[in-house]
Amino acid sequence: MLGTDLEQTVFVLAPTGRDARLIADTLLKADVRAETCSSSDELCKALEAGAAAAIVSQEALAPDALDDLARHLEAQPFWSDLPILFLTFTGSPSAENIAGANAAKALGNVTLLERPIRPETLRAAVRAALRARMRQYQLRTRQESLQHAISELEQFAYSASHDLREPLRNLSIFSELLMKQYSAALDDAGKQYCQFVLNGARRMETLVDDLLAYTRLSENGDNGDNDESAATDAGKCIEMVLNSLAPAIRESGADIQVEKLPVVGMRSTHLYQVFQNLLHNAIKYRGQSPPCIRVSAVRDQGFGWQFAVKDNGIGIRTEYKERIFGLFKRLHNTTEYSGSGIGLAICQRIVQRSGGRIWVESEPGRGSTFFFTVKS
Amino acid sequence: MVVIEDNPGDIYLIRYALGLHAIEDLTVIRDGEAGYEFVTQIDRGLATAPQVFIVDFSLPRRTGPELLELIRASRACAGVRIVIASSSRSPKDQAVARKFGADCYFAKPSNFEEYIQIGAIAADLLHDRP
Repeated sequence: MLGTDLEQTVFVLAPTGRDARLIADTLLKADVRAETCSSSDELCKALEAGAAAAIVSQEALAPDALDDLARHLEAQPFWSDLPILFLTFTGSPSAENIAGANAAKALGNVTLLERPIRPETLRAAVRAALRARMRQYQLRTRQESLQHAISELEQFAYSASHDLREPLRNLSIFSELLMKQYSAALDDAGKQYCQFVLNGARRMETLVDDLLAYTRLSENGDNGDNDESAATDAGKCIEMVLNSLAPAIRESGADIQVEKLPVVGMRSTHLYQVFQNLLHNAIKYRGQSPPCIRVSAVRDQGFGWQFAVKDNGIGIRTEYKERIFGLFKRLHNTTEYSGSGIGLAICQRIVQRSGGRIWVESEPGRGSTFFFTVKS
Repeated sequence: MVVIEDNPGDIYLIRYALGLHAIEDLTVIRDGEAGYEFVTQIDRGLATAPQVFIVDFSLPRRTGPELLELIRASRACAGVRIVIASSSRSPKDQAVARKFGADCYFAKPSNFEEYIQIGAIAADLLHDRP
């Protein structure tokens, strides 16, 4: 049988071959594809290959067979929730209830059907199960095409970034050479034009680099270095960030206070990028006085840790609080503040991918505090 | 010295950088397929293997890593030194270059002074300096 046929097939597990055959025949009369299984092992194998639903009668399932089946069902992909029709035993009422309740608990998507069952009732229950299963298949198809579209888009962005850089490099270097080697032949306007070309190319390169960093975050959720453990000492991480920002800190006269920070469940390269972007912004968007920045962390109920990076900079108007995390969203022109508008988008993507959230509280002229949550 | 590179700007800069180290004996091949044929010819004894290859990572028709693989598989090219020059700074591309046997990965910078360092790198490989 083909895989797609199996996916339309109801598998029947009943203790005697005769019972299973009877049920299967009842379904076949309603044009439902049905196959019998002689053991729970066989049923589990059938489910691995693909199945629309399963009909299981209580006496066919020993306790360890129930566990086996439950394990198989637990391993289903996220879109799949196999409908199980469980035929309860016509014995003593209490035994019935316990077996049915156990099965329902262990097997998830279970409909209990009490015997003796009328053929029409069985067929209706099976039809309902099949309808639900078809919806699950639709969900799978959607998911697959979405996944495909995403990976194509990422591939596109990645190679575009590679191929874009080459002509930009030529622009930068040769306008630089023009200014250096031909400055005598150029008047002031000519030199200025060269400078415009150079600035434009350099800026575009920054954009491409940042875009690359952003798309790289999506490749298998890592940054190219797989051997890193997910436990990161945030204190050590921020020390590294402060080292890398030392020239900007010196130049701006920034006062940066870091409280004791915990060990958190995030790759160090990712936490580094988040801190780096937030601190860099805190220094860059400063007001009249030198930046005063405070980094702290408190326990976040039920999740892990909530970090705060607080500054005394120019602040952000309420209507922009959401927008600043978007890709290429900038609030200033490039002569006021340089940048590509990707930094906060990268932060948001990193934090959200690890299950946390990031937001800002701010008042124009009174500084901003960026918060983000990380698992312990 | 053989340079396999398609971008005229890069060819100019590499030639300039090598000239600073008195390396004038230079063969330039302008696309991946021609590079592939050149290596095949070396294997057949129809061309001489250079001491150093400078190979662009992303060439038309045949990529840098493809050429690397071919050169490393060629007996006539045994011991040849290879510089992979690339527009990308991606750690993945560096890992690919290493895997296929490049002696050096040169991420082409967008600043003249840094770019011409490729001359010193190639000269060191040519004269077998570490």
